[in-house]
Amino acid sequence: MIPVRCFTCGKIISNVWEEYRERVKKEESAKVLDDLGIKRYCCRRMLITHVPLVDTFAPYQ
Amino acid sequence: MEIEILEVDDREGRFMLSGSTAAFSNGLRRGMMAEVPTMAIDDVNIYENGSVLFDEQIALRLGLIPLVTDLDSYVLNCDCEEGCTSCQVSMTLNVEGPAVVYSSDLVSSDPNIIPAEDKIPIVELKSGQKLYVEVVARLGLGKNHAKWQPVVACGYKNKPVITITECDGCGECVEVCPKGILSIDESTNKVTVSDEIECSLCKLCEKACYLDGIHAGSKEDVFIFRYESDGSLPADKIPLLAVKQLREKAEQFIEGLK
Amino acid sequence: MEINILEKSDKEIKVEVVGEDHTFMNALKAALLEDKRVNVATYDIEFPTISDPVLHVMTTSKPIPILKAAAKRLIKQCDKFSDKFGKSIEEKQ
Repeated sequence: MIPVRCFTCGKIISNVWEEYRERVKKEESAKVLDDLGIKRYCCRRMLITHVPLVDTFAPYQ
Repeated sequence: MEIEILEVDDREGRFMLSGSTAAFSNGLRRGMMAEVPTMAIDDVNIYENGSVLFDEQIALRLGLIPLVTDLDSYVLNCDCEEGCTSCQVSMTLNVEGPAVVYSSDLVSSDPNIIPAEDKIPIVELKSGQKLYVEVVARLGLGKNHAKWQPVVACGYKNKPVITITECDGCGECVEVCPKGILSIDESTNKVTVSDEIECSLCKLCEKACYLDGIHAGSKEDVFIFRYESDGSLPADKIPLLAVKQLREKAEQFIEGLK
Repeated sequence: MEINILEKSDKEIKVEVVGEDHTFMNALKAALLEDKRVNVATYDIEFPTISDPVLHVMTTSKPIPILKAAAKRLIKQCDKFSDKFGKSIEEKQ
């Protein structure tokens, strides 16, 4: 799961994750992040570098 | 002391405080971050957790959700022992998979205390998985846990002042300025500054100028504050609440000396 | 706010301010230094996570009224800020 807040500054970034994930398939990620109001590079790396693992773990519950 | 509001809305604020001292500004900054009470989830009772996350991870994620805070109806240090309606709010979260659990799924006992953001995913449930938790939200201070901090990215800087003494219009400084606030005036063929406040005092323009004619300094008694609210309190109220806390401390200090 | 007076004489005072940190202490120290009667004003938090700050002030006259005057100056600054900030916000909206 995407962290709720940015590790560095504490801004809520998880609320835009789903939109980011969808839009980044077609658009350039820098543009999407600007659009979503994620300005600082600490917040931007949270979304850019996140790897969702729920589907990987789910079969082993 | 003079204050000029540069920009303010619900979530973001920027203002210029002139004729003040670093000590007061820093007290204000620290007050905004650590002394203004906000609501956050503090206790979590987990009745069923079939999700891929551990109980502790769920509890942490719930704690970090900003809640819209009503400082008039709730008190920080309550006299009651077990918790009462003036110091805590309970909420329940009951979702069955397959579904993504969002912050908006929290059902609060007080309709005024709700998550400030609706679309924070807490956990993704697959079919057959269930999450049933009961949480208690309380007021708290940022100095005890970052979840109680009303502001993010709160800070101040001295007001930058760029002075140009000599210029032959070579344009070297315009090219190196990362903020893009310098430009060459066509009519005079000299460099001009468009938005002085944006200067980050990187001094790349000083290095670039072979005439040594540009200088980036700062005004010691003018402070530019910038902060963002996480949604728990409106951004135009936070500095006032912080200064109120500072004032109360000074009053208590006088009281304590008697 | 609990205040423990550790040492006191006519021209010097050491007080422990329980539960406070740099937020208040530094602002108070700066307010003290504005006073001409104050020769030395400083505070120390001996061990950051467990100690309470100890304010040490050396003055030319009785220290306690000077401390009170400094705190009052700080209150005035706070009031001025609230007043000006409220007005500026109103103007902006």
